Amino acid sequence: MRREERDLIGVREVPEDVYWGIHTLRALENFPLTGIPLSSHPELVVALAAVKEAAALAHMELGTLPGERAGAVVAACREIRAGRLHDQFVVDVFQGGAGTSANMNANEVVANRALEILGHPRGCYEHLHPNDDVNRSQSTNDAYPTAAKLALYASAGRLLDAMTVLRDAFGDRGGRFAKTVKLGRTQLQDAVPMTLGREFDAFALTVRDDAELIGLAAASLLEVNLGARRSAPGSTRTRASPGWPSPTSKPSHPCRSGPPATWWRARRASADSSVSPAPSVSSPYGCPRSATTSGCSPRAPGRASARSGCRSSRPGPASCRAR
Amino acid sequence: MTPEAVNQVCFDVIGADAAVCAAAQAGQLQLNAFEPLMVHHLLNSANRLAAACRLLAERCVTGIETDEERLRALVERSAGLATALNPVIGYQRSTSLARECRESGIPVRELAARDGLLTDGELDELLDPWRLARPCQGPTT
Repeated sequence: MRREERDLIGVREVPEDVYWGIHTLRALENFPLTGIPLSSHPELVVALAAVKEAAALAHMELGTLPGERAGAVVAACREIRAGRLHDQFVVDVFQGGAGTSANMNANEVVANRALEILGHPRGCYEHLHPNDDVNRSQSTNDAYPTAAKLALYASAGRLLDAMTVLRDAFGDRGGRFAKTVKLGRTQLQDAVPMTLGREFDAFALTVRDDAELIGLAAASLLEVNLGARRSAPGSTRTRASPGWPSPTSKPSHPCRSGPPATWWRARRASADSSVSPAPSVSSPYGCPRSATTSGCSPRAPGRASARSGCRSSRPGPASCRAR
Repeated sequence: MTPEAVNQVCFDVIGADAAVCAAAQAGQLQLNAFEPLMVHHLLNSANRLAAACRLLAERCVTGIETDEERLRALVERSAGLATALNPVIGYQRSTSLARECRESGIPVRELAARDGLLTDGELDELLDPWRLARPCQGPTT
């Protein structure tokens, strides 16, 4: 079974049982480059869903998207964030268009799942449209980079956790070898004696210092550009609502506490004082924190700020062409 | 072999870094169109480094033990010990000892005692490995 979908270029058939649509189909044909699908980066899939959910919630708050549709989009996004439908993110990780294919893949999967939730068949975009509704007031060039930053932030959190494990392992051996004397070596020759404990402690410190830099870099990922402003206000591609207050850049990120710590600012802060420079943060993405001596990454995993998604499953007319 | 595997992750990340740099510097005006490559490599690299850190910690560092006798023997046979005699017998004589130690394989301590440069007691103190390893802390008590 296949269903027909239409875009500016023409009409194409997509398999009935997939959640993606015609834009994803075009991307599959246009960018057969690595064979690695977007789903190989679950963090990115989850982050794209988080961006779509944040946008829908903002629209719900502003009344710029009908509540029923927004609720279905939110519900679909939460399913994806919980790990469902990842196999539907099929576009190649490499693509032209600065992420348009990834963004459209997300829009189509969210739209079709939301349609199901609303009781409509997949592809019946007159009820809920990938561009007009799921991507509403967004552009690839704010949605995709925002998702990328969230995904990287999650990855950085996991990396910091792992670095903590490695640092602690070195530190543990450093303590154990505190009284073990060995020869230092420089230029591949014998140098003066030292303890093996100091050598391992130095490894631990190196890992800790690197983790601190990663924590600082990760903190700068929290400055996101979501909110329908790419380069041209009023750009037709953004479909920004009149009086649009960039809602998704305002309330969306529970991570945000205080101004973004840019790299140089954090560097200067750490040079100026011994106070930990990066803001402490906590988010559903497994936030890294600035690594201190007590631990590289005390993560605070958890769900996004809970806002109830209006889940609706009214049966609707199946007026779409399917064959 | 674990460190060899970890090294390969590092080489991979260094390559990814080069690709990301090329993509980042190719951005034009208001948009960098090469973000998909950057995201792909950055996510891969962060995840692979995380796996490598855990692997190194769990399969290599945790529980690693030493051969203390061999470490001590390496210290005692090292020509580098002559450095410790430097403040007492002077640079010229200590470097001569180091050279002779390297050529003959005879420990610095034996050579110094043979030449009557220092007493056994002085050598004991000056060449105490624990003291040498912690020069700031003075002799052990």
